[in-house]
Amino acid sequence: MIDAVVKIDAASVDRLIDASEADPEALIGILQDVQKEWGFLPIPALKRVSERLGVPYNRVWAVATFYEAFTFQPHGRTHIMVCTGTTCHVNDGLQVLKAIEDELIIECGQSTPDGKFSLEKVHCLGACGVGPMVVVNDQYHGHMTRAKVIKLLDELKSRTEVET
Amino acid sequence: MADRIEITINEWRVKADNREPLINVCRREGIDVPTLCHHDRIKPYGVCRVCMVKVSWGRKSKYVTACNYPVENDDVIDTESRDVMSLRKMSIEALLGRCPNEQEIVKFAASHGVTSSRFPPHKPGGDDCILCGLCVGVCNEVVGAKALGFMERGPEREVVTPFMEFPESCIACGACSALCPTTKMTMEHQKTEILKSRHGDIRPCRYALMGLYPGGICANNYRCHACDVDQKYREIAGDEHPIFIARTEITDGGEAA
Amino acid sequence: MKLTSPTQLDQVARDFRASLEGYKTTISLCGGTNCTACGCNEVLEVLKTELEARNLTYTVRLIVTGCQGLCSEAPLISINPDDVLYCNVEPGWIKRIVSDTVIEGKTIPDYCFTDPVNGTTYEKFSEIPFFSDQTRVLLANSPHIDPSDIRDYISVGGYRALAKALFEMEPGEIVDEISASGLRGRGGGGFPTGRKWASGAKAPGDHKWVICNADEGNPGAYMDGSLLESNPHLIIEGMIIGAKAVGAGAPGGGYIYVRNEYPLALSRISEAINEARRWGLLGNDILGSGLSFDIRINRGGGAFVCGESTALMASLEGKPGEPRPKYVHTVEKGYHNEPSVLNNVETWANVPGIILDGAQKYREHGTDASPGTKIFSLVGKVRHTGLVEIPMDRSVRSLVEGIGGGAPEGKKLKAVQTGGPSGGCLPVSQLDLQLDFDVLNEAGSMMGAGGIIVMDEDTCMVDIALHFIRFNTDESCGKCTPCREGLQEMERVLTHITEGKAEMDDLGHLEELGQWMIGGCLCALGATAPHPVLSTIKYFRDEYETHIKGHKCPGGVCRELIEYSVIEANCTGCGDCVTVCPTGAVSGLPDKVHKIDMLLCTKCDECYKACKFEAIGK
Repeated sequence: MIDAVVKIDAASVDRLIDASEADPEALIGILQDVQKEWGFLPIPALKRVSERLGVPYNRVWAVATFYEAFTFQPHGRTHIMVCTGTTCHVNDGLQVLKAIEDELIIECGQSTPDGKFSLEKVHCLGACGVGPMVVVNDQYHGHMTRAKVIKLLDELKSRTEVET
Repeated sequence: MADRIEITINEWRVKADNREPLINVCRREGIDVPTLCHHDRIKPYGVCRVCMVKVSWGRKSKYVTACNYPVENDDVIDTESRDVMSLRKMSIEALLGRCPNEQEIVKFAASHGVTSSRFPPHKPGGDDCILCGLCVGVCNEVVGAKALGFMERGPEREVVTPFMEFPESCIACGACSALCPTTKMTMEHQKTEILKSRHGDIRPCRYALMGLYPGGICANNYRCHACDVDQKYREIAGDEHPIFIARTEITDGGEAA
Repeated sequence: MKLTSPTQLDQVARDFRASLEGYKTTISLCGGTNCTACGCNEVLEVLKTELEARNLTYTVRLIVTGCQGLCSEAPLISINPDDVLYCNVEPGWIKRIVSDTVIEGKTIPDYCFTDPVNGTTYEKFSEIPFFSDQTRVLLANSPHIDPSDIRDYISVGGYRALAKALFEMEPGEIVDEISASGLRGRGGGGFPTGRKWASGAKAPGDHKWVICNADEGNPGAYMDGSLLESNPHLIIEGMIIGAKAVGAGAPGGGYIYVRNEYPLALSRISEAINEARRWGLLGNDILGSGLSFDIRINRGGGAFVCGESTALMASLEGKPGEPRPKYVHTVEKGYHNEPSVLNNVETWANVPGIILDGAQKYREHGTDASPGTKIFSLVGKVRHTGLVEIPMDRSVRSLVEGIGGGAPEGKKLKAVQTGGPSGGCLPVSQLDLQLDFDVLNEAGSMMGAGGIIVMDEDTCMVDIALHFIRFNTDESCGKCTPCREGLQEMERVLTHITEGKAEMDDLGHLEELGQWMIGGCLCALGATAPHPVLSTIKYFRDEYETHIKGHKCPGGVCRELIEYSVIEANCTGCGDCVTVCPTGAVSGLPDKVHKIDMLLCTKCDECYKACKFEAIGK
């Protein structure tokens, strides 16, 4: 769990806290907003949230590490989620995951060294009728197979080339 | 005064307060129900599952943890039937498997007839923590320092200081390590070392950190058990203070941990 | 505008219907998560452009609905009043659909649903057996209404049950009606909703809460998300009625706990709540009845265990989602230690219908003990996947083989999994079981949320058990010993079995672990987690034995136990396997028998899937 280097100014954290009326019960929602802002949960921001909400450090840390949604490392510019729900599993979703791992030469839960791609698996995205499912930066792709996902990755790679 | 009720434990009729924790009734009646995560001063956490017993109402029954089950009139409780014992033993076996090299756990298991475990440890040499939560409970509820908590979940769950950093709010009271049934809790030790590394008037007495002795400076190199101040504040703060609770009940009064 | 009396609802409905009179045709594009994953947004853009180009926007109403149900044929477009459903719609089809069907009123058979078994093409939506075999009550409006427009819901009778509950019924009468209907909680356990409400109403306290559990994390079940996407006001209406029944009006209130992994459902329900507030259906003095009630949304942080009521409430309070013992029920002491009535999405969705039409009418469907209809998500190795709503007296077979059309590609059915990670696998011999709460429990499975995952001969039951145990291990909060340690131990033993490293004694160990977890776990997640293992051992013991003793995986799934080879007699040398092999392990000259080099083979199964002649053995 390495804290990525990023500048946190208290005012931006405060803005997010104030948007939820500094309600201690809104802790999870505020952390989701913090993560949206920086792409991950920076420790200084967590401390600020804790102090402003009057929620002790140990509870903020417990919440931040308990829920799957939170990460302490930024995602890659292209974030790929592979569904490993039961339907996707029986339809060979693991092979799709493996194909992506092989193609990007990373393991699930990691980012490529250049920061372009990151990969994680998720439990069921509610699109079981069209599994295996892959989500790329919030875009859903159904009926994936090894061949299709490799084609998709090629497209994504050429797109990120153009962008950079 | 709470309503008095009658319940049956192992075929004995006993009186109890309505919704009193079952463990209190058992202890009062001299019925042995083992626990690993229970302490009278801490809200029952109910996680080790070693104090499992069976409650029946007519033909219906279920397994409950004695530490936090509130008794009701006419509950029929069984603390030693074969099924109860096998649930209890399996929990002990699992914890022994997790921490095969923790002497307290090994002894506890042996005293319940569990000498080997089919559960292999999750890391080489075994874990040093059974996740009973006593340290977290005492630190949060009794001491109020909130210097310990859980992180992660499932297999990754562990007890840590917040953000895994050195906890500024720790008052080095030692309650966590005193209650810890394993060798996990050494934080208070570390904190004391840090205090020792300071010089002159920035070496605060631990009772100063606990708010009992404002401005106090340590003159005894943190050998608290051999210090007059320790003796004095035990009298002033009373045995109710967290550090004394921890010492009197769990250790024999030496410097905790 | 804020509605201040129930009669204004009828006015809204009349005005809305009048505003639609100019439209000759309504095109409903399914915008559910499944269709989104199959490119419905591209279809929508093309459709919009085409309608504008042809100047049809004043005569054709285009709406994006929630899930219409037949997800295997996504994306879907339905066109009314022609009663047409087009399947697997591609952007390139739009020009023809607009010119032929919308303008000329001609159905295009090529785009309609065709049964893959007998080749019948269905030109009418309502005649497709997948739909005509269902009894759609909760899902009745989903394919037809615009979830983002509250008036559309009001125009099909929405919020009338609320008006009845607010002005014609006492709280006790509402509870009695729900009790009389026999409605049982749709989240998993099937607890009688009426009994829960009665306890909630009776529990002392000025602050009471009604909570909707939309943390649908059950893999394979997506009806709750789909209901929120397609008909969010149905749930809101149910909750307001519940609030009146149990006394959860202000200063209490309502919460909807939505999974963060459902972005579409989250935005639809948020939008719907805002609309309901604007129209005076949430907030102070609802419809002039004096009841004040509002609903807040809470986004989950991604934890399956938060579907458990005590964990959900801990999460609402901003804490880690750890369950606590339920020796005191949440309906007495839940959120903030105050009385809290928690039901899941589908349960709330049942409420308006029961109140409006009465408990007797509700009981016309289903069985005595499990009345009403239930939405199932029919997924896995089955021809037609999607959402199916049927009464609970139907059999598993009629659902899987009838509506679902059985396993695809001529494969044999092997098992049906119900109840998700808490449920079990039923073998083909149990397919005639009735799909009700108690029958499924007795068979060692459970209803759960209603996910029906179909498995064919290519599925390995040990692998499935391991899959669920891994899921539960990931999702366990780790608080109590049996769940945390038991799941890790089960995962270890099952992994050994799939690798051929286990012994027969391990089966007994697994069963013992299972009994320990059922009896010893703190919450329902842990206590039901062994079901997938125990039920597969019960019904598919031979498959476990083949793994352990024969070091073979009959389903051809466990990679440590399979070796690929070419069955020479069947191989035509077509080269399909060579093309798909990612490592070059398969080789051979055209029209000659091919061979596989096991040193290069990564067991990805691509050659097996690609071979049309059953010439790859494993």
